[in-house]
Amino acid sequence: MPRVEPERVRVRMYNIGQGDCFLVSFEYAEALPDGRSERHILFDFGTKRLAEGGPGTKDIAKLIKEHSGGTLDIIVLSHRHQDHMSGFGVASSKVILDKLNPRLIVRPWTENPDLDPGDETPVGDLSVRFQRFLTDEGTLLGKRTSAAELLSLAGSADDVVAGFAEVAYSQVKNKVAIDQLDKWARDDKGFYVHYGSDLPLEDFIPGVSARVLGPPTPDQHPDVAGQRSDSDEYWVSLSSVLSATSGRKKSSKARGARGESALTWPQRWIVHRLRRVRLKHLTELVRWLDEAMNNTSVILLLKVRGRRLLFPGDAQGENWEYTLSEEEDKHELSLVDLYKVGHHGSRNATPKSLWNLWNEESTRGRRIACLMSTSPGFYKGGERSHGEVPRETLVAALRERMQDDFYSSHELGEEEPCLEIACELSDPGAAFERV
Amino acid sequence: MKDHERRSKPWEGDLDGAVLGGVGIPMPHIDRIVRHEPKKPTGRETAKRKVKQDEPPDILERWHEMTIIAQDPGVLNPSATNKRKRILRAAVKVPTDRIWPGPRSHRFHVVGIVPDQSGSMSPAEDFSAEKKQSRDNYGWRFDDQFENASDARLKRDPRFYAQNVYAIAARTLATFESALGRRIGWAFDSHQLYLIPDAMEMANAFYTREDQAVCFGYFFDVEGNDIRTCLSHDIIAHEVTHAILDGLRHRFLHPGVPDQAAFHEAMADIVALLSVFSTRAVVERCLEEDGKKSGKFTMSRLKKSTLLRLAEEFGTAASVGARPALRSSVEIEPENLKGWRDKDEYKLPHRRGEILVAAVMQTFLRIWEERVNILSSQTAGSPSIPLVAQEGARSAGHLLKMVIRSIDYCPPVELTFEDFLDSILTADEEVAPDDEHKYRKALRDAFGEFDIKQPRTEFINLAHKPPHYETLNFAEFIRDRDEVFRFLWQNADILGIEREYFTLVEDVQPSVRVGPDGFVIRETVACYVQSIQGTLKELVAHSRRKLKVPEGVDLGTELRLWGGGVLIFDQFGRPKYHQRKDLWDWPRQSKRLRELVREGHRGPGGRLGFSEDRSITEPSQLHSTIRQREGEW
Repeated sequence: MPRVEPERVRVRMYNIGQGDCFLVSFEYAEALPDGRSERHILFDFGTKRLAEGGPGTKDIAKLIKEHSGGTLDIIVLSHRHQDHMSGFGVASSKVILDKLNPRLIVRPWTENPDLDPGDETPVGDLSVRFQRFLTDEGTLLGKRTSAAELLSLAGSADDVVAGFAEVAYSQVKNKVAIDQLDKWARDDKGFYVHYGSDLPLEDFIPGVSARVLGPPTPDQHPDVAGQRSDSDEYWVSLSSVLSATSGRKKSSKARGARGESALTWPQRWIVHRLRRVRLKHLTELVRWLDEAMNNTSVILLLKVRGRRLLFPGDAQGENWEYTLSEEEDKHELSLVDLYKVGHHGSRNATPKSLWNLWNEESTRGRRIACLMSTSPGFYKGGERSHGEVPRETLVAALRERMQDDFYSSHELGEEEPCLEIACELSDPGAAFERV
Repeated sequence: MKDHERRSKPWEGDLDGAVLGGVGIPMPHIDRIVRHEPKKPTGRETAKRKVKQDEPPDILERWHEMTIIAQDPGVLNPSATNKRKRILRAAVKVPTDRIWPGPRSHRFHVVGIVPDQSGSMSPAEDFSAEKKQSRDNYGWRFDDQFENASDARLKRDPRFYAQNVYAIAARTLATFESALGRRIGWAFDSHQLYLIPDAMEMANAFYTREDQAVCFGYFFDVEGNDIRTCLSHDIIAHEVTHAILDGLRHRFLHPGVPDQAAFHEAMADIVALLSVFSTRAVVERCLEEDGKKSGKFTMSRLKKSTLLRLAEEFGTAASVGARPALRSSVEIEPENLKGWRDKDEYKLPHRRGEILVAAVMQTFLRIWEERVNILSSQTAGSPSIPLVAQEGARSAGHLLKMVIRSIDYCPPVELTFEDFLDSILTADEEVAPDDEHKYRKALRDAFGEFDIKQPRTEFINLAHKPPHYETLNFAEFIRDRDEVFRFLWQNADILGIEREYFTLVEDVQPSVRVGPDGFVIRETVACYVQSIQGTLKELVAHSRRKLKVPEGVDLGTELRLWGGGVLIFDQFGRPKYHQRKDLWDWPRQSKRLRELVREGHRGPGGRLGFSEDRSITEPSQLHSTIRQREGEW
């Protein structure tokens, strides 16, 4: 029986603002056994801020329904961050997606509720410990502070308060979205991946395979959990995160508790200073947790009829390091035809070692379609931190290398709820073209 | 010596080895282990106590006696009389001060009133023994309410947290002041350092200059027990040493060569570790415990002792259990550290600092071992534990004094480990020219094993070119910055100082110590810095292309360069020692520039070598996340 392969692959980038939402559709010449001639993968659906004048989450959900013909085969949640999953929790869009009956939910290994360390897997004690820190109910700020509170704080005139709120906001657990994904994942439809996982994509999408290039577990690559996670100092720091965010009651009793008005002037001064110190420290810790969470991003390389589509979520340097140290992976990565720009174009999610693979003598001339979903100005960063998103120097380099194949969601007009590119797979020389 | 005798004469018999002793203020020993024997005072004792409280302050004792936890709550007293072991605690002598609620003295202000989650405050406790007296006499005597307190109370009572941090902080400051023979100011514009025992829920403690405070955090171990850094002797001594060192050399916290930040950490560790030995009775207890475990007293056994581990409870609670102490530098073997300067992990201040701590602590062990060997030969057998403890206290006290005194001889900027070694040796030669106990040899040997060698010291030869004093006023010269600058200006050529650069005398301090002949010597220590700033292009041209700029750095970037030195003047005002870091030392400046770029230390506008606008003393374990790393855009 001849192998069934798609004739065309179509990628849609929805104009969701500061977030990610991509629909990858494979079109077949003939109907498959279930009568459909298409297969669809949804990569993330979330935002921190919708695009000005752009579609709302409900509008995007409707478009996904329309573009997928009423059935979603696979949902990939790259990692558990608001800007990648909030759409799954919004009531109006959740109802729509629920009717698309997703058949497989792919998430990073850290989301696995039944994680079990074993000798045969790369999930050992270190990994289990790391997962506990990331997903333990008690570690998440959401228990203590609501998203609405943080958003209101983010607009504060006080830089320290606003900075904290902005970073902490991304850590707020969107329980509704997670519950929805858990619901879809019931009946063995959940699949949790780490570097090297064998994702059975062919069973769902004929003629398409996948290579999981990330995230490595801390047992595979300790750095992915942060700097020197194999050292005691690392766990001291992580304990700080746990303590600072757990909201646990102090054990010492407040003896004769009284109000601030009872303080002497020198006491009042230091108490005010201390509040700021605590907030600054907490901001640092939360930022660190934020980066650790980004590094749980699934890096997925889809392969279809000689084309390679790379979706790395928000993976940062430590996540990339592992796959980029493998020669075979490097070879695959050097030949990508589509790159979803990592982490909305931030400074540390498109490592230069990856970039260099596309600029060698043998690869420099290859066309690579580049999709960046971002909202300039949301993260302003600073001259010292280079924290602006997207990072100017990266965008300039991408434009120069990709030329007309570089697309950014913020350049879409008000009438364009999504950007669509497609590649004719039957033509071996065809690249992705804008539709 | 019996316990009660030691208490009445805290420094008796130790003037030579002088655990932390110095001129003017002999340092207190922790001379008494407090046995946990809770008992209610008898009626007679209560009456005596009342009479004592009512006494006027004109017969003040020189010390307040305060109960502290000797190491941390995880170190228990192996008392033979008690089957149930209890926290090892000690009654220590703290220099007398007028103690107001807090405790609050003229140098420290303990604030235990951090708002809790409900926004309420716990009060500042009144530790005065004269609570009912008039304000005239108020606060002269201290009322130690924890002498017989249970372990549970020590671990739970915020008033004890306050007493514990105050007592250890005050003793640490006294240790420095006694060794240097002068008062030491803070690096900020206040006389009082805030100590915050329950600052925040975090597994850390830190000194913050901007907030004029040392903050102690608390956290919970895997079993849900609260771990308080304010109950750890090591952590308190470590953090307060940061504050003291900042007062002595405030530029050591600025971004620069990697040794400099590491030195701050190392010095804090060294003081924390060696000061434990001033608690001789505590040392005896620990030696007894170690002896029970492993029999004969040996140096390899001592290396693993609780005494030489830092923040044991903290490290155990926060780690996976593989390493019971946060840091145990004394166990670092030099042969495992070949080429450490080029290894990335030793660019981190704590890791790099461990090398310096290891060199000093291994020196200490060698000295102690030598002293114990002498004892063994004299006693024809294993010496008793009290004698071994006494020798340990003497060795530690002397070494700590050497180390602290060396700070005056350290340059104010760009300190390297080699400069530190040079400063210890040079400073010690001044007070002990003959090196009778071979301390300097032990130091040279131990540092040498870690590839830290003494550089060639530049002594000023006054024979050929005597300096000009013509327009100077001696009384001003030994205390006034402008007058010292006048001296520098007049004698720049002789001193090897370049007038072309901006120069600032930052500090002129007296230093009093006992000379080898037993007489008091008064020296004057003057620190100056030099600096220039410009674009890299301008500075490269100025250096005649000797300043090397790392690849990829924009030549329009502004850079500030620092140089400077310390001048030691003898009691007649003659310069006798000049430790300096020339601003025009281009290989050093190139190395520093590489570090600034590598670490991403950029100030506003992307400038290099300027102070960053964040606190440089807050915990830095996480700061790497905001630095630009290799491979990023």
